Amino acid sequence: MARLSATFGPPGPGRTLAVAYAIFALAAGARSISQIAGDLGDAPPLSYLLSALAAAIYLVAAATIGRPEPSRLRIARIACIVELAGVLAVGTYGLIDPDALAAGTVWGGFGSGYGYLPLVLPMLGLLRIHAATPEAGAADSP
Amino acid sequence: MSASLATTIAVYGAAVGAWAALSALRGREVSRGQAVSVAIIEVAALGQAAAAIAGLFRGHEVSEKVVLIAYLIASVAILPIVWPLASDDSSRWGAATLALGCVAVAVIAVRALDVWQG
Repeated sequence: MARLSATFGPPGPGRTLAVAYAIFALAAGARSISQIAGDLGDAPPLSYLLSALAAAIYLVAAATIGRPEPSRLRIARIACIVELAGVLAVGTYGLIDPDALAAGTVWGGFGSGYGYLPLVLPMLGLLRIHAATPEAGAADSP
Repeated sequence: MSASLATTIAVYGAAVGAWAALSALRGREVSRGQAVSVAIIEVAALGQAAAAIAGLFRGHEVSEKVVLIAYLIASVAILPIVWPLASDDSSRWGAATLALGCVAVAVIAVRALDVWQG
């Protein structure tokens, strides 16, 4: 239990988010393995690189977002911002060019293949980081 | 792998996930009944993983073996990791964590069967 707490953080919403990120790291990781091992020949490299990148970012977020240390929360904030930017960029690109390579990733269609959670999760993550960061709380008070 | 067992895990996992989500919305922690339900899902997932491994040894061909094995490991490992995290949290967030774990196991049961059937 101590080791699990060290990874996912103390009880509370941060731990729930960390578990959600760990599950998404698994989903994106499985997708990228499947793309790399499967049709490496015809799948555009960018689509499986994006899946692997998404998996790595989810893993970083899973290991940092539930922890109370400000240093970890700073890393989690960067991970959430990169993730949000990625979902928005890949989703928008898919609208412009529907046949685009990036459609086959977790971030394709703004995460529609995963119940839009890839879009919602970083927003919830940023809210949680804002609430958990002491400096942010101090800056808000008059 | 058994398609009916996969469906059972998916439906039951989703149901227990919904139950835990409802507990979270009501501000309740995880319950004893949910502990029993999680144990039942875990036994079913272990049975399915055993059936898959037996099938692979008997020569069942899958095109994405690495992905299948990753799903099988995840299907049996998620709840033993998620349950202690959920039950240790006496707030609504424990139930929310459990809901995520149950839904993940349900989805993985379906995905693993997809890979199994090629």
